[in-house]
Amino acid sequence: MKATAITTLLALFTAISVTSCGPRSPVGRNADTRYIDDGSEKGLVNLGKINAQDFTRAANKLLQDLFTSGALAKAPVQPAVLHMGKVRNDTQTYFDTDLLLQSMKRDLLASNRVKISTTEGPGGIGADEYAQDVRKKLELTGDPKVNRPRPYYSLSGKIIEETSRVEKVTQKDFYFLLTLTELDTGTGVWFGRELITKQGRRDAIGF
Amino acid sequence: MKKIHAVLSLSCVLALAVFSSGCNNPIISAGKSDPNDQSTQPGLKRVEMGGSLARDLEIASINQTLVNEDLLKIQANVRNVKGGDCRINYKIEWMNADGIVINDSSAVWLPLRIRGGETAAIQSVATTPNATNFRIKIQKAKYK
Repeated sequence: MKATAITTLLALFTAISVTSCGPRSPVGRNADTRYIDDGSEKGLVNLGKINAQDFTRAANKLLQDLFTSGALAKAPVQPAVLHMGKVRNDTQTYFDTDLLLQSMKRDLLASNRVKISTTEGPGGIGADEYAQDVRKKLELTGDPKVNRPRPYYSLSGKIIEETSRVEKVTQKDFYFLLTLTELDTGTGVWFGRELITKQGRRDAIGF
Repeated sequence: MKKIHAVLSLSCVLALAVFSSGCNNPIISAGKSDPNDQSTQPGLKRVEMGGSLARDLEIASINQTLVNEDLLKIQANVRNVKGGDCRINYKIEWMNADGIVINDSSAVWLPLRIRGGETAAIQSVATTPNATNFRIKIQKAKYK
């Protein structure tokens, strides 16, 4: 009798503990979708692709290296105009390289060292075509407020994927290579490299 | 009957143990005790939530300097006081003078393996001159 009471109490305590702090019971049989934070350690880790946290990590590490190099502080006029060039995706999966570049642009602007043009680009195509059109029309009317500051720096690069296998273990190396070029001299003033390596047998949830 | 009770009790205790260990991944964090401290080795304010990580790791010291003329760079020297490897995830949050967290690319958990007895340097550079203080958060990695 006593043993039954203890067992019942223990079972009740376990049930309360698990339901109070653990994940909520799903409504449907397999409904367990939940939101996770940006850059969370609970995000999926895929062996064969670059995950969201990898882009943030690469952007952060590359920027830290760029800031530490002091290359941006050497421009004669500050903030200098930076042209965001092409970053080629040489990996096996498709993704938009803005996943890497957008957070870099935000942090570069916050540093107060550069301004980034959204109306100039390769082949005369800027990121914001509407703004580009308006500026063109204003230029034709001779509006003195429209100016075309010449970029002082250009940022370009590529992302490379390398695969190695030993027995059943796969290793994926993702190289994020960026170069900052000073347009006046046409020389590279910073060469950034961030390597993200993943090793394992299968994908994982969290790390 | 007694056997069933014993098995049931053991199962409950085991379930509780598994549950509490799975849910308990406390974070240890540290920051500057004085946000305006601009010395190269500022005083530390530690917040430790207990758990085994607080016993395994020690934030020995923090160094800070300016890079790019006006951006704060910090280095936290984290020592694994145990003999075995320790896999952690860490994150650095930058804050302005008012203590508001700056939303930048630093806000991502990064993995790090520290070998037994080794001191690892965790570095970060603020992305804005407005960043005057920081908070380092460390937790155990999911996989050993």
